[in-house]
Order: sequence, then structure tokens, then C-alpha cells
Amino acid sequence: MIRRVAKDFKRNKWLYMLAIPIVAYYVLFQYLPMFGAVIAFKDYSPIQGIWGSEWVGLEHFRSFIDSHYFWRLFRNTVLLSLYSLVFDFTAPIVLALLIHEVRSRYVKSFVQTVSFMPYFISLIVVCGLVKDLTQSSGIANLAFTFLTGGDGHDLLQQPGLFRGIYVMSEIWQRVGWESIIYAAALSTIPQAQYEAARIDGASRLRQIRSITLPGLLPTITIMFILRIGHLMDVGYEKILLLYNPVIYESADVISTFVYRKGLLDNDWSFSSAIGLFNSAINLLMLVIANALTRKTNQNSLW
Amino acid sequence: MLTIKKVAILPLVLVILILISACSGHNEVSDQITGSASSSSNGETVDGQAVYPIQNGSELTYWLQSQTTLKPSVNDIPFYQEWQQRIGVPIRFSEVSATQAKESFSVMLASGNLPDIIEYNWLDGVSGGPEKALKDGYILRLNELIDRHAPNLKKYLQEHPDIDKLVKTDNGDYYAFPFLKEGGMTTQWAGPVLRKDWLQELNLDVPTTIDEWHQVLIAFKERKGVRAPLTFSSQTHALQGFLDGAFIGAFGVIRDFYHEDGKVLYGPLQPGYMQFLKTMNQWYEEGLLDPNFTQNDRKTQDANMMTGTSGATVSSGANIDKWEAALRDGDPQATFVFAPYPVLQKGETPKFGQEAWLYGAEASAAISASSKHPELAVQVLDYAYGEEGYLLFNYGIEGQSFHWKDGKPELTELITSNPDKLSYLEALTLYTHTVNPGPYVESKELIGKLAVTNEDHNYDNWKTDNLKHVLPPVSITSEESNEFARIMSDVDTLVNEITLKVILGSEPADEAFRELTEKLESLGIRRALEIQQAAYDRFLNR
Repeated sequence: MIRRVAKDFKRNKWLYMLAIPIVAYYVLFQYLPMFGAVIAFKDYSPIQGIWGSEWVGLEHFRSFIDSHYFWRLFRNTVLLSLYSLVFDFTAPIVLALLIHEVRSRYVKSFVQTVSFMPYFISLIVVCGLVKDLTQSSGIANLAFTFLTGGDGHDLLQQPGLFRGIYVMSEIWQRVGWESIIYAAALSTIPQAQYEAARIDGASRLRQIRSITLPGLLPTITIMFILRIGHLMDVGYEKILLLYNPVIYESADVISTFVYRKGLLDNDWSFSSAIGLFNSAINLLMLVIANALTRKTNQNSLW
Repeated sequence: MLTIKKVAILPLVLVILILISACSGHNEVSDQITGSASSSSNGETVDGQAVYPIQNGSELTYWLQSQTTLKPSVNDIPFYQEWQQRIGVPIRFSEVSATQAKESFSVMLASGNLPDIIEYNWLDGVSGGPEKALKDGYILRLNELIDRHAPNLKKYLQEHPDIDKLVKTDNGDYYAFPFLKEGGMTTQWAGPVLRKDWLQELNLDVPTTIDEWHQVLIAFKERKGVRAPLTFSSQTHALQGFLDGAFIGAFGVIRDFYHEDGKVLYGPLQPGYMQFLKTMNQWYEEGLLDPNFTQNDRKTQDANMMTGTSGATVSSGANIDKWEAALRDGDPQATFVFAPYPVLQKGETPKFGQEAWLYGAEASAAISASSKHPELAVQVLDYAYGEEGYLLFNYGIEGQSFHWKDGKPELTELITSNPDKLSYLEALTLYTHTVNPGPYVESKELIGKLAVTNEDHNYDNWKTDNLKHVLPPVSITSEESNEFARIMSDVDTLVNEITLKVILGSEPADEAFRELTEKLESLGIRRALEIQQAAYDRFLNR
């Protein structure tokens, strides 16, 4: 075994060299920091160091689960994730299908370019835009007031609207970019299949259902599993930039709570425990999603 | 892999920081000042006391919040260049922007790698307060060091026993070189303000009660057609406009702990708080209160006041002077008038308002426990509290920013009408330390001379009984501090949330107030009150 590796190393010396920085990156910045998670079980004090701090076991986890805000944070995180899953995840697929059906090459590339432009705008700027548009004299607010007869108050101060605003701005920014991967998958479907279907008299909808979608399914499945692994993460940077105490009721999620506890209140151990809790749920979801998809359509990560 | 990556955001941040700080300790902007050639000493001390410039070859690291965006770094600010030359010790600054200060401070503490001197709010900015910071071993207890190496500060505190009481903990420990003030406008500088020309035009008097304010704001709205008659800045807190006690104080409460006849109370638990919420909600619904008041930064407030979008706000006198100057360009009639803090019944003395203690905790310099040169750090910091230091920190450099006139320092045109078109506040920030918090004594006379004062800009209008009711800088014992910090973090979230919800009308006041009281009880507000009461009692016995 060792000899085989040594032989392989001799032969591909330069390729191994090339890999060193990447491996080092993962070891240094992904694996080593994981040991830091141990502070979730301790009462971390920087002066005593990670190993010297007092061991308190599951106390931080317990006090989080007992805490006043636990259920609200949990509910908000899950709901916002589900909203994102239902809308953000399907929007790029729909867009890719629509673009696929367009015949004109120019229209196609124009729509693609325009729709993925927003992806390159910095998050700070996007959130600034969202805030301006939704405040009491913003265009989005005026349109909303006109359509629903609302009272014209700042939309980001109404707890009921936060998830909608969040999801819509996500779609606006990411739909074009994320549809590229589906567009690529679509281009691999042999044209011959469509020709055969047309000769058999299949309508365009029928073609989509019987050729395009099945051809896209493996990609969708993989993307879905990857997505599930991040289900509980939600875009906390964006939430931090958009939320305010008035809408904590719907906008405060586990990761923003971690930020406030850890970086603003210096409660590092407590905050790590919550982060770890969040990640544990993510991992669990990933395993479940993987098992489910393997059962139903034979596509899976492992 | 993908999930594992996210296993723990925080520890990752911590470890990265430890790594980075371990190998980049020398990457901070370093200072090249070598000190004046004509120095007389080489780190020699007389009776253990420093002779400036010190010049013993050591250098210090210093963490602080940037005072200005006029210069790219602290080292480009003439004041800091001069200061280093005078003390003879080169200093490497790590600076953070004021908006990032809290996060950066927390990350720095967590890294365990602390610079020699840290200028921060060591009283309220650290969870657990100064006693915990001392006990956890972040910073040094300064008593012996001050006694032996800081003659200037020692003398100042001996001469001012009332201040001495404020700057130490209950155990009598000194934890930082304090930001001290001489009273007058250095402690009392902000309050309610209205457009005087509008009041005259509408034939109204300067309002003193909540009812009169209501009438004035309605008149601004209906007869002047103003979009948001009363505006606030919420740069640091969504409720910033009310935190100093404006409007809320009329109902006898503040959004914090205070004391009455020796008993510590928590404002949001008092019936007055509900009255306050109801009134503000009414003003909001009537369009009198700026609908964006929770999201305005200082620039928006400036714009609202300088364009006539709003006619009233709460602000510092210096800001008001700035607005007035800007407004006069377009409208020579425009003036502002300082209004007293509103009360409920005519003739009452306002109970709460902006008035600070002589010790401003916001930027005091502590010395880290890991510092290799604690004595040197103490000597460097002590310079500011001497006669020369007092002049440098307040008036700047002789011949440059001030000159002597009739035995008194007087600011030059460099400050008062700056050739680069800087406002006097900006110019002072570059050539002196005054108007910005820091470890020195802020001159009452200087600040008093800078402000525009006349019958409309009358700082006495803003007088209140504030200091008789707000808590002095009390310190919580290190044993209780964790518990207190955790209770208050949840309590603050809850109070902010419910307060805003009621004012913005998404929840009726009575119901919300009942919910607030119940939840506060279950979050442990009684225990927090007990802890504060004990701390206050200990303070009285200092």
C-alpha cells in the first residue's frame, strides 16, 4: 500500500505539489478550527485558553433550549429556510426552462446576461437598495401601498413582510447565476430526442415533461441535496443588514442570534454551542435528504 | 465536506484570528517618528517618575477607535504625531472605525492577544464590567502603578475626591486612565431643539410640556406642510432619540435603570413607560414623528434638519450650530431655539435629560495584563493629566493651533477659520484631542468658547435633574456579572422590540405592556434589579 503510494507520488510528483496549497487550506482553515468548537462545552476565557477553560458539558446547550427565544429562533430559521427552498430553489429551474424554450439565440443570451448581472453586486449595496426601495417613500413601498391599500409605513418594519422581501431579493440577485448550471445540463440533452418527440406529435409542454425534466433531474437532485445541507444556514449576512428590532419576531434567526451573543455580548461559549446546534441539524437534514433521494431516484451524494 | 465546513463559524473565526495575530503582530501601521534630537534623557527617571521625552527604545501598541475620516490613519493626525514626539515613545496604533468597535473589541479579547493600551468603554462596553475584566486577567489593576508612576493623575484625583469615587470600582481598584470632564458644556451638551423662525411665523411659544409640543408639531405638519415634524438620529440605537430622556423623561421614566429615594427601578416596568409608548404611538400615527426614525443615520438627521423636512429634533449644540450655518445660506431668517426637556405639567423641573458624569467612561485607556511595559504605558498615559499635557490635548500646539493672549491660551485661525475649509470641530480633531473622548481632562472653558451661545442657544434651557436620578458608574461584582449580562441581553432585546412595536402601531399599548411586564419577570428582571440595587448601595458606601 505504502509502496503503491510512493510509486504514484514519484510518477505524479508535480501534481501532488500542485495540490499541497489546497490541502493545506482545508487542514488549516476547515479542519483545525473544528477543534475550536470544543469551547461550546466549556466556559471559554481567552486568558485561560481553549484547553485551560473550565469544562461545563452541555450547560450552554441546555440554557439555549430553555431560553425565552429558543422556539422563535427555531421557527424563524426553519420557516425562512423552507421559503427559500420552495421559491429560491425552483426559480432558477423555471428560468432555465423558459430560456431553453426561446428560439432566438440573441434573446437567449441577452436574457441570460441581464439576469445574472445582479449576482455581482455587493451584498451591502443590495441591502441598501432594498432598504431604500421599501422605506415609506420608496418605489417598492409605493407600489405595494397602491396594490394592497396599505398604510405606507416602512415595509421592513412589518414583521409579516420580512420573509417575502428576503426571498424576493434573493431571487432577484441569484436566479440568473444559479440557472446557469441548469442551462448547462439542458444543453447536454440530445436534440435527436426532441426531433423524435416532435415527429410523434408531442406538444411543447409534453416535450418539457417527458424529455427536458427527466434530463434535468440528476442535476436538480444533486443541487437539492447540497441545498438541504445548508437549510438552517440562511443568509445571515443579509438578515443582519436588513433586520431591526421591530421585526425580530419574524427575522431573528439562529445565526443572527449567534452573532449578537458571540460578537456583541462576548458570550463566546454560549454562542458556539448555538452554532454547533445549528450545524448538527444541518448535518442531520443532509443525511436524511441523501437517504430519501437515493431511495426515490437513485441519485445521491454518497 | 460541505456541512462540515460550517460546523462552527465562531471557533473558526477565533482560531483564524489567533493564527493571524500570532504571525502578523508587526503588520500594523507603524510609526516612524524617532523623537527630537535634542532630548535630554535616555529613559532616565527621577524618583521613578518620567522625564519627557522618555526615549528608552521601547515602543507601545495602542488600540483605539478612529476619531475622524479626514486622515487615512491616526499617524497622519498632527496631534498624535506631536504627542508621540513629546512623550518620546513611538506607538503602533491599531484603529477600528467607531461603528465596528464593539465587534472588533470582542474579537480582540477572544484572541487573547492584547495590545499594551486599549482605549475603550471599560465600564459598560465589556460584559461584566471592570471588576470582571480585572479578575479575568484582561487588564491590570492600576493602583500601585498610578501611585508610583503617574504623579499627574494621582494629584488630579487627590484634588477631586468626587471624581476619584467615580473612576474606581467598589473594591477601590483603578482600571483605566479615565476620560475626565470639567463640567459645563463638557458634560451637558444636547437637548431638544426647534425651528424658531417657524414658531414665530405660526405665532407659537417655545413648547415646554408634552401637550404644547403636540400642538407645535401639529402646527408644523398642518400649517407648514412639513413631512416629518419631529425626527431623530438612530445611528447607534433604534431608540437613540429617547435614550437620554427626551420626551420619555416627561413620564418620569427612562428606558434603563434609575433610582428614586435610594431605590433602584427599571423604567420599562413603570406605568409611566406605557404612557410614553401611547403618546409616541399617537404622534407616529398622526404623522408627527418621522416614520423612518428607527433607521436614520446621523447624515439623514442632518439632511432632515438642513432641508426643512423636519422642524424639531434632539441633538448636540455643535450639530445645531452646523445646521444653522447651512440653513442661513438659503434662508437668512432660519434660526434654531433650544427648548427645555418636555414635562407633563407646566412648571415642573424635567427629571431626565442629557447630562454626563464628570467621568465619561466611553473612552478610557486600560493597560493589558499581558503588556511587557506596564510602567512605560502608565508614564505615557499620565502625560495628558499634567499641565503641558492638558494644553496639548485641549489646545494643541503652541504657535500652530493656539497662541497666548493675556496669559490665556487662544485658538488660532487654523482652527477658527481653517484655510482648508474644515469646520472648527474637524480642525480641532486634527490638531487637538478635544471634542473627542479619550484619556485626558476635557477643558470646560475651551468647549464653552467654541459653542455659539445666545438667548436662543441657551444651554441652561437643557438643565434637568438627571444626575439625581440616573445611576452613577456602579460596578457589578465579578461573581454576578455573567448572570446579569445574560439577563440583560434578553431583556434589552425584548424591551427594544416591544417599545418599537407599540410606537409603530403593530401592537396595542395596554396589551403589549402587560406582555412586557410578564415576560420581564420571567426573564429575571427582579434578579437584575437586586444586583443593581446592591451595586448602587456599594457605590454610596465608597
